[in-house]
Amino acid sequence: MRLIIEDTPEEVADLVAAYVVKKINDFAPTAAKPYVLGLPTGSTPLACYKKLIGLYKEQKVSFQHVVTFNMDEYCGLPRDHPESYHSFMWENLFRHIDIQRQNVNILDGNAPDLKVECDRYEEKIKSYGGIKLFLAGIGPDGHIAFNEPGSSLSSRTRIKTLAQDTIIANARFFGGDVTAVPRMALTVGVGTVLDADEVLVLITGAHKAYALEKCIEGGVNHMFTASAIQMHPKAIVVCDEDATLEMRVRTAKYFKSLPHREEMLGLARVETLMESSAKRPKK
Amino acid sequence: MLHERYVRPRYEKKLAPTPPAAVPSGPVLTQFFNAMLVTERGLVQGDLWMLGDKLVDPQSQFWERSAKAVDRRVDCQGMLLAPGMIDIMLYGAFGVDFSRCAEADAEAQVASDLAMVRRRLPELGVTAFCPAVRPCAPADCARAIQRLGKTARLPPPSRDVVMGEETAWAQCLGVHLDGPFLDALHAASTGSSAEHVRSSLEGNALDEACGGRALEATLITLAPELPGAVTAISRLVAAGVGVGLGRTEATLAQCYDAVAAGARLVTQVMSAMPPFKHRDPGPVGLLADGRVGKADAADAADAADADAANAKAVAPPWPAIRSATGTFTGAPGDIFFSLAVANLHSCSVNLVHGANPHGIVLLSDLGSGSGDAEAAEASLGAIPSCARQLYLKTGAADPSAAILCGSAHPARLLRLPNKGRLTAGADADLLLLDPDDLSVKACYVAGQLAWSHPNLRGALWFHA
Repeated sequence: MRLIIEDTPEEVADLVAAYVVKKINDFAPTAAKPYVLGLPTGSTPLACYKKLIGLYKEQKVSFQHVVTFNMDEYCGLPRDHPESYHSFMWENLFRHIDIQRQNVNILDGNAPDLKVECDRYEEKIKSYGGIKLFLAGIGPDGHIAFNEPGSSLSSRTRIKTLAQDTIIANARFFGGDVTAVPRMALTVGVGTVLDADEVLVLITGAHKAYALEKCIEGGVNHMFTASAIQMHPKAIVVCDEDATLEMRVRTAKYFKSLPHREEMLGLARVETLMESSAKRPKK
Repeated sequence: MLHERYVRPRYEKKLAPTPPAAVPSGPVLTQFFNAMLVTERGLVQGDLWMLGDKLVDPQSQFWERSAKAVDRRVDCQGMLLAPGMIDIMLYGAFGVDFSRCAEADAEAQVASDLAMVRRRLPELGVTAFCPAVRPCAPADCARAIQRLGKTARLPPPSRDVVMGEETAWAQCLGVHLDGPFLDALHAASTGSSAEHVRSSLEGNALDEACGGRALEATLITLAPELPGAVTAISRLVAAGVGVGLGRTEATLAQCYDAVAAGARLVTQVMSAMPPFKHRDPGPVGLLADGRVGKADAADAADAADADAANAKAVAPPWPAIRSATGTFTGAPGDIFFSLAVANLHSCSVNLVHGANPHGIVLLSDLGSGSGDAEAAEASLGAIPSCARQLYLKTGAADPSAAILCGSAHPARLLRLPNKGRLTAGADADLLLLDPDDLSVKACYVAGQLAWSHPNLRGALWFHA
């Protein structure tokens, strides 16, 4: 697993957006061979989406042949409700880019049979040959997608009841009314995320420091479902300085000394990397 | 440059024209992007979507369309995207004088003149208008009302093509009768002969003077001090005719009576009416009465929302005006003041604007269609130019409020909830305006490109 520590949340967003664009462009997707991207919702990815929109507007990338799968969606919330993840994705990404409707996949929390909807979603992912890059955020309790603490680490897409602290945390989006937050959600499983070729987790802010420490330094643990990415052959965690507050200095220093960042972006060959990372200005 | 805040327009840049792809069957979903949207809450950077001839909520469109997210895109290049202008008092344009439309043997000529004006108005930014008719003989008046009646938005009377696509013409909203019930003192200000001016609205005068067609007009400007005025106003308002007060010597009390009876407009405020005096401010006094239509922008927007939803009236929180004949319980922005900004001193403009910024309705000054004015000359008197002058004279922070005085306010005056606003469900009558001088760069009527500036041709449609 790689851990990349940037100074600010903005640099995290820059790096991740640049990486996504590079992956799409290197893949050179076509209609017959689309690039398949997994997408999260939430405040951390929001900054990254803004950067992606900026890069799209500068014509650095096209989403014409990009297929997206979203991680989760509330059950029973109308699709056009401002807090639905359909609305989130539309407002913050899809309306600004040239993505095609038929390439967008979000779980339907209002489907007549939710079990069938979840199975259909898994099948659909398979039909594209799996997800190439899964972006993810994590919750303060270490959840990835809506895989609340205690979820099976081999879980697939399914219905999940939200944990009380998630409901309380999300009440701020529903006018502070805890009873207005949907109790259930459809979510991809931890296993679904781990099946992706690459998993990239964004973590920013001091309030996520404990979760990051658990995710990196703790063991694989079903009470911190994001820690399962330790088992993934190609997992990347990008965080800011604030998120490292709970981590041991030793761990943070180790990861900062590595040229992961440049390698990721294919900026330079490894020999020159050691010099250039030594020259990076200290702030 | 008027202000520093905007991205400078980039339309000078020559863009390669996109060859029109096969036009999809069914209504076309169009996205306007890179635009500064003109809204009640100021300029908003963003995009706007239309499906066919209506603006739509893009999100629900996105999820419901199985294939393409959008059929075509319009790069607004940093220009202002505004609702189409509505001219509530257009005496004529492009050499046509609507008052002459009444002549008995001119039927065919009138039809072609009206068509020509409708086709050419989009280049002045006007997407809907009320032809104004001066005092004339009863038979002539009836003919004018009939010939200049409301027209549909779609389709234009004959096939017309702009840039390879069918276009639409400005919509005629019906006649604005400027008289004949006026104060004799102001008869000359109409430019019509005094013999047609009537000094009473009593009895059958309304029907008699308009050849029985008075209730088919859209707006009528009259002097409220004439005998019988209040009864006539009630009757007109009940029939859905808007009543404006103008060319008058009325006292403020008489104006209150007229407002209580349903009058909603002061026509050409400060002109052809008594000056503001301390004991009796006259019609101008309506401006400063807090009970008569004074609202902040958000209230105005909400009032428009309420109009749109046909919400039932809620008792207003301010005291009702008690008049001799009834009680007027106004609503925010209920009284409008039409203003020929070009001819007013900036002090007068600021007085009106300061007193009631959300009641201003811009009046064009197209020279009454008397001359064969060149288009460039005509555009100086057209509504977008008036909006610019209002904006300059009031020194506002951004021009959106001034632009809405030519679109949203007249739409509210005429109770047209689907016009004058950039909200989902509204008619797709749109303007692209230069952010520097507010000149018209392109005009869409009913979702179709009706006119575009020569520099822009070929650059406006991108087929996604």
